[in-house]
Amino acid sequence: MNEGNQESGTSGMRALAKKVRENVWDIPTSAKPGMLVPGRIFASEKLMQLMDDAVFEQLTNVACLPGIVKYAHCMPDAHSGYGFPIGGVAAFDPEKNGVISPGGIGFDINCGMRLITTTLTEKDVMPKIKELVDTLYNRVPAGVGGKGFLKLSKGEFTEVMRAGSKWCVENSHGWDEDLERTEDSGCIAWANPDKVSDRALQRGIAQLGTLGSGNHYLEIQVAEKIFDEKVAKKLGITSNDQICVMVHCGSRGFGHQVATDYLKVFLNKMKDYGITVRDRELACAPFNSKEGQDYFQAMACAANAAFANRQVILHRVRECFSKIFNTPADDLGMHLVYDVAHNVAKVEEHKVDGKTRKLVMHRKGATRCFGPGRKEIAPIYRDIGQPVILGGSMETGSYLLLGTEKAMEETWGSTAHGSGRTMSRTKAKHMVRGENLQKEMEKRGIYVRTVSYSGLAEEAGFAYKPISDVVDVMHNLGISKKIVWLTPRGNVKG
Amino acid sequence: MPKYRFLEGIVTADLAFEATGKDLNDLFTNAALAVLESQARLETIEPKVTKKVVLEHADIEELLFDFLNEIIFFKDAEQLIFKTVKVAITKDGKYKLTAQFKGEKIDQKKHKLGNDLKAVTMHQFKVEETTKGWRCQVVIDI
Repeated sequence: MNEGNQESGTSGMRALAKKVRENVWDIPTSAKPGMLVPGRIFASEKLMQLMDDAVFEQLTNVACLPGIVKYAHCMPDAHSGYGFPIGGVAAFDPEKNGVISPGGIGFDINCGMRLITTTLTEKDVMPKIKELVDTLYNRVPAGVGGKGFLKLSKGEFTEVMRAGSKWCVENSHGWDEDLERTEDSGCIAWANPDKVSDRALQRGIAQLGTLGSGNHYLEIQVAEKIFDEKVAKKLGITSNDQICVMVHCGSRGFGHQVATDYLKVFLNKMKDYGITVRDRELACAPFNSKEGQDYFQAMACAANAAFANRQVILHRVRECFSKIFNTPADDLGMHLVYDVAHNVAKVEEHKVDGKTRKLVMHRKGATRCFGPGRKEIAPIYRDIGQPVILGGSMETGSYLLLGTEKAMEETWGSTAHGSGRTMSRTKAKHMVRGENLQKEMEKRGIYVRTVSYSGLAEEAGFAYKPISDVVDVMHNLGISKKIVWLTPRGNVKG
Repeated sequence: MPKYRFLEGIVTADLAFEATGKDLNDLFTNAALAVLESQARLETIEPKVTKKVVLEHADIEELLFDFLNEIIFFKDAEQLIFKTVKVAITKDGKYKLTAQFKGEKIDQKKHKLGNDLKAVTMHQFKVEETTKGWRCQVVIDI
């Protein structure tokens, strides 16, 4: 196995990136032996500078994987990850030995975002913000040891793997309308619990409805600026003082274990398929192999568990609002705008050289942003395009965007997923103490509760790229349109 | 020489550390302590519960990978975090590891908690023999 490393020529790949037009950069196949396609980076000059050198090394490693089509793409919020960069999009053709790779999806399978509207305004909520955030903090488990409030049997958890959000709605943890407002209706059909280990089940069974830690959060936000009133209205946001709620989390220990299990399977199997990779986190297998299919079916179980996790949290959020404002959640207009996955693989039809082909799409720290008309988009939004939720840092705000036809041509219908870190956790922790950051944020009108003060310091706004720069790159390229900018008022962190 | 240190410049969003040891037992102990310390401040944990881990592998890197993943498994499956660890590794064809962890159930009010670790990654994962003993480099997904 070639343990190709980043020590050799780290800045080399960056230097080989050539600007092809505004906000678009290519690294040619001549940059590294074995590259099958060029690397393509979507970024302004400033964002290029903010990406670490390893991004370019990792992107060009992805470009060497069997069956990759057209480009190894890199979104403007990219930073280095393990194997694939975070912010990576790559499509593989299963008819040409194209692979599936757990490292191209991430350990947190179907980590994603969920945005919920309310009919409340900033004036209604700010006098009660502490009570509201404290209630959410107490009612939605977060952080190390945050245990779910649902006691599930093995049989029930297996149903969650199969049915995702549908299981939640059938068991009174949601509204019927939530399903059509979730990517894949919150239930990926090819999930097969037989492909999941008992260890994964043991890690996940007590965690349904928990946030986790790291960059995961539950946030009370205000629609600060509406860029497209017509579309915003269709998505349920009508005024620039409207309160919304955003949730960022994934499949928890269950998904992490599925990814760990299959990383080991693929590492042991690659030699049989004659595959060598430059980093063991790029371990992969042909999509049409037994191992490839097993992982794809197990990954779908984890994706469904993640949809269910965010669905149960949504239900809890509705209960908390209902309690604090003494009004039923439906009278508070607590509709789900959309739920998007930003760590997942899917089989999708795309045009390649004028022909429609089925491709295995990997998005790791990247969001699907299909343009109008695609069958995958729920009927309520099909005529406008897919809503996209970009979660920013807890200090700077987040965006609601919309997918476009242009995205289908440029990025396989994909866009960024957030602002993307620029600073390591260790460094951020040295720059600020969590307790001080909490006080400073409160002075600025953002009330935060956290299980871990060191974790809070790691998530400081200065550790991230400016989200508006990220959003502008994709907006100016016509890939995802700006609809609403949301800013934080209250935050629950793991 | 410190038993372990967290590294910068390897990964942006995750946690990288190196650990050293005079022998394999020492290396595995120190690597485990780095993982335990990033979950919670060890001085806030009491050694109330004992858990034993037995693993074997022909490959030393895969042995360390599996061993560190055990810590993450206990955190999720049994809500346990540990304060101390004792490791004994023998080699008879394959490496055989026996470890004993001592700790307690997670109490968010009592323990000073850090990150909820997702997984040990294989990204630039290394176990190597040095002139002074052993060294490893590990990246943990957060």
